Formats: sequence, structure tokens, C-alpha cells
Amino acid sequence: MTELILFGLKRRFLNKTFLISQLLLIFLLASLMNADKIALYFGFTPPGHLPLSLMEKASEVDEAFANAYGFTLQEKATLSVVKIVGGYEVLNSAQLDGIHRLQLQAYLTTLSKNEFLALRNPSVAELIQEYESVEIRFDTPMEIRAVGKESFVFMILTAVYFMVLNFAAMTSNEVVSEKSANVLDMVLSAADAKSHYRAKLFGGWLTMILQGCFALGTLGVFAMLRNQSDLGKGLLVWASQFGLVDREVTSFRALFEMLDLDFSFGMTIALCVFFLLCGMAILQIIMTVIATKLKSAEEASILQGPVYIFLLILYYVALSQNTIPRLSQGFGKIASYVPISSMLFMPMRLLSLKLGAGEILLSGCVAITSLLTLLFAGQRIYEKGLRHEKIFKKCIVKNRAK
Amino acid sequence: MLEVKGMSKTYGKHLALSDCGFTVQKHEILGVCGENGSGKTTLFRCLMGLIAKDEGEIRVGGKKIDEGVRSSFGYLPEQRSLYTDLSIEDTLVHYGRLRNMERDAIDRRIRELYASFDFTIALKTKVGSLSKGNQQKVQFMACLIHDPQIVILDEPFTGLDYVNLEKTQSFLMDLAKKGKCILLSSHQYDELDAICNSLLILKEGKTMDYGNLDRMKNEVGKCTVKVNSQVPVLQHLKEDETVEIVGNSSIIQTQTPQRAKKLMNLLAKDEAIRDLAMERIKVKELIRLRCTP
Repeated sequence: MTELILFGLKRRFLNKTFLISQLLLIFLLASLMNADKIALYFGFTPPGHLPLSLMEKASEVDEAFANAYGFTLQEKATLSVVKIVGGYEVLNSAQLDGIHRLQLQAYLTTLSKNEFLALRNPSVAELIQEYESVEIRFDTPMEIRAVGKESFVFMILTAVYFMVLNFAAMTSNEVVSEKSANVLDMVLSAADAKSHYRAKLFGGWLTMILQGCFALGTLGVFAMLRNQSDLGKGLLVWASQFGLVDREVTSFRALFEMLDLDFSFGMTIALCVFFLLCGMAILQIIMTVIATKLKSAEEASILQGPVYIFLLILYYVALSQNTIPRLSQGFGKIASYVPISSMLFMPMRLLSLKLGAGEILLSGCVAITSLLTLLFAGQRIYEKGLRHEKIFKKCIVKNRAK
Repeated sequence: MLEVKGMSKTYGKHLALSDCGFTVQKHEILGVCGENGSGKTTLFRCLMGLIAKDEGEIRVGGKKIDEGVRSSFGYLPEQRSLYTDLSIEDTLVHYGRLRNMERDAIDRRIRELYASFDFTIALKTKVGSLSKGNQQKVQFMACLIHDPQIVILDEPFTGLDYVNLEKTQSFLMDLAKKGKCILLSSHQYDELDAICNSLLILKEGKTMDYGNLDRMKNEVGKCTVKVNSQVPVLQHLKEDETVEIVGNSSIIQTQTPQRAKKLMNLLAKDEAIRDLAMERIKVKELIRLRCTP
């Protein structure tokens, strides 16, 4: 048994793929441990500090206070504060969510008090008697969004996202196992590598769609049965204890009403699914092409670890950026245009913000272009990989027969 | 007709195949032989496009064929390449469909192949439950399911018992008679001797000899004369001729076929001699001669 264990370990660890995967892992973890420095290098705003400009020059104390409340004072910033009679008006406040509005209100109140104290140097009694709280006006009222349905949809997208981890590996494992079992010799004598590649990818997508349909269908059947039983009340009340649904939702019908599935929201969900599928497809192509270079199932399993960690890091980074200001600008916005990361960040932005058609179109074009480029470039690499051909240089025949 | 010119393949620094060329006509069986690691499998895999050749040209019927699948070829790999969880029927249907055959045609072809191979195992039997020899037969059938004009067989006799060996030999000769071009490699030299019209001998990737088998044997010239050992023969032999006792027979090695005929005529005059036969040099001996410096 010892020999079997040692043999298995050798096959898993003593190979080039393990070395590369460990280097990848080291790189990911090093980046994680130095994420703040990387963010600073690329000029990303420190978390929580929204740029704010005051119409009057702020003192050093005011600057320190601003940082404490989560703002950083700049001469020119989209978010600005002007003095009005009896208080302040906040301009371009649409980007602020509820928490940031409260923080800004608290900051401006403190600012006003500090001014009063600086000007009048009052006693405590005078302060209580004469200080009047300021009015803080926002030029854009805060939109009360039905947070419930976005959270619900995001929960479903999260579940689908973690299916990606399995889906990306599925096709690559198939290729590796066919290589190991020598089945490819017969198959490739009858069908070309290009057809094999396309069949693997499309077969994988079809499998995912069919599995999804089957899962949804099964869920639908059980939901109908449960609905017949108690309209879903028991289940939803239980789920509300964990904050998964609102307490008011006590039936499946109410759940659907909460989702408020109008055309606009339907389009949002469709776009979210589109970006998620693009990201999944890109990952699948990458893993499938890499599989042609792997020699055994053990190597394939070793490679999946760093890929999973990468996807998990991406997920947690996405969660950390899941606030309106961060998704409106900075890292969250940029990530929604980058292939692979856009499969999380773009759905988050679609569910949280009202995006213009231009932004959605741009991100969509980038995603589709990346997918198509990888699809065709990947085909060439796949063919060469299966035929043991070098990707970039041609072999030169040496020591030809004399 | 299959024509190959200048085929070369290198794996890193190792020269697996160097400037290999040959032609296989219709009705011809070309035997490819050599020591282990001489490049036989590499040659076949390059022909099939399973690995990328470094140099070389392949023509079929005078036309250069593209890289990729040679779908008109039938290929039998050296190793078992079957899905063991599929049944025989599913396997053959799968490979037939990969070649765009209709189901009727596949079924008809399966019946033909079953008859040709004298195969009696039920179609629903799982491939994984078959013996090695029977799996080889199924793989053979899968390679021929589309009735290819060019058939490439890498070690087709591996795993076959004596009876099936003879049946396979006979089957291949029938295929050749039908106008197929057949390339096969084997370490079973008696089988190559029995069925091949031409031979390609490889050593360390290089071609040591190639051509019509009869011509190659005649060029070497060595023959053996077999006679029952009770008869003294030494007085008839020249200095460069050797005799070896094998069982009840004496095997005499001569340097030329003419000398062998002359010796036979001499020995035939002796009334005590009952068994007398002449054989030209065997493939095994031919390879040894060509590959030994």
C-alpha cells in the first residue's frame, strides 16, 4: 500500500505541471498579501475614501476628519459640497449609497460645529443655546431600490459562478483521460483535431445547459409540489431566519412579486447571464487547451487547485467591491471590462447601478471579442498540442542520413 | 497508390525518422520492420497525421494530401484504443458515424466484417470484457468499417492465437487482392514472409533497405537447402557452405540461389534422399543482415 501511495504522490507532484501551478499559486498569494501596495501602485483610491471637494479651503483638521468619515478631500472631485444659507448642498450625490450619505452628513455636521466653535469660541451653555444644526441637502434623492430582488439574483449568480469551477475542469479532464487511455489515436484517425476541439467545447456548453435545464426543471417540479402543500410558507419562513429572503415573503407568489419580473429586470438578468457565460466559456477554452499539454489525470488535478484559488480570490474581491461608489469608478468599473473578471463585476454593476448602453456594449464587445479570439487561437494550439507539435517554432531536423 | 517522400521526425534531439520514402501500389502489402525504436510507429503516426512530421510529402493517387485527418485511410494503432465501457456494436457504429456512414451501411459492413473475421461474439458484449485478442479484432474491424483504400496496421498480429493469425493473414491477402494498399509492421517475421510483397527495413530512424521482397532476397542470394539428415552431404558442400542439424533434417546454407539449385540437383540423384527443399533467405535473416554493420 505504501508503494501505491508513494506512486500516486510521485505522479501528482513530480512533474512540470505541478511546478508551474505552484509558481502560479505563489504569485497569487504574494499578490494577495501585498494587495494594498498593488492598489496604491495602480492609483486605486484606498477603500472607503471617496474623493470630495469642498468649496472652501479645508484645514488640516478638516482633512483628518474627512478621512475618518471615509472621504478624501481633493480640489476637484465629482462629489462636491457647496455652502448654502443655513447649511450645505451636496452636488452629484447620485453615486452615494445610504451608508455614504450618512457618513457625509455626519462629516458636514462636524464641520459646521467646528466652524461655529472656531468663530465664536462659546461656552457650553452658549453652544447648546445658540448652535443650530445645519441643513444638508442632496441634489439627488436616494433611490429606494428593492434590494431584495437584486440580492436574490446575485445569490443565484453566485451559485452558477461556483459551477464554473467544475465546468471549466470537466472538458479538460475528458481530454486528459482520452489521452491517457490512448483512445485519441483511433478517434483522431477518423476525425480531425479541429472537429474534436469544437466538439469538446460545444459538448461542454450543451452539457451545462442541459444540466441547468434539468436542475431548473426538477426545482420547478418540487416547487410546484411544495406550493400545493403550503404555498411554500414553511420553507420561506425558515429561509428568512438566515436572511436569505425578507420576512414579509411567506409564499412563492410573494417571492415572485418581490422579484417584480418586468421586462427591464428580465433584460438585466439576461445580460448578467450573458456575461457569466462568456467568462465561463473563456475559462473552459483555456483549461481545455492546456489539457493537450498534460500527460496524466494527476497533472490535471494538480493544475485545478490554483485555478480554483484564483476564482475564489476573484469572488471575494468582487464582494469587497460590491458598493455603489466602488462599482461606479475605480477598480470595480475597470474589472467589469476585463475578460473573466467581467463575469462577476458586470453583473454586480448591472444589479446595483443604472448603466448606460455604451458601457454594457463596450464590456459585451470586449467579452465576445476575447471569447472568439481565444476560440480560434485555442484551436490552433489544441491541434498542435494533440499532434505533439511545438506551438511557436518549427523543429529542425538534425543529423540527417548521410 | 500511396507515395511517401522524405519523411522525417525529430523528438527534441532524438531523430526518430530520417528521410523515409516508399510507394505502395494497389494489391500490394508493404511490410515495415526493424528493431524496437527504429521508427515504425512514428512513421505510421506521421502518415495518419497523429503527430506532426518535420518534413516529408504524402501523395495518394498522385495528389498531395493535406495535413490532418487521412479519413480515407484505415488505421490500426499498436495499442488498444477502444472505449472499454462501450459494446462492440456501439464502438463500430461510433467509428462508422465519425466517417459519415449511414446506419444501414454500418450494419451491412459489420455483418461483412464479422463474416470475414469469423467473429461470433454478440454485438452487445462490452469491449472491456473481451480478451486481448478479441479486442484486437474489434479494433481491426473499427479500422476497416469504412472500407478504406489504404490500410495502415501497426502490429496487427499482436495478441492473436495461431488459428486467428492464419485467418488474419488470409484476410489481409484477400484485402490486397481487392485492390487495397496495405502497410503493416510486425515483429512476427514469418507472417511478413508469408504475405508481404515488399519490405521496408528501418534502423534508428534510417532506411536500411527497401524494395520488392523477392528482389531483396535474390540480391542477398543466401538460400537454405533442407534434407533428411541420415544422408551424408558433406562431400557435396563447398568451403563457404555450412550445414546445421535440426531434428531429423540438415539445413545447408548456400551463398546464391543458383548454387542452391545446383546442390539440390546433386542431392536429388542420391536415392537415399527422401525430403529435399529449397528456401530463400527469410525476412528475419534479411533484417539481421541489413541491420548488422
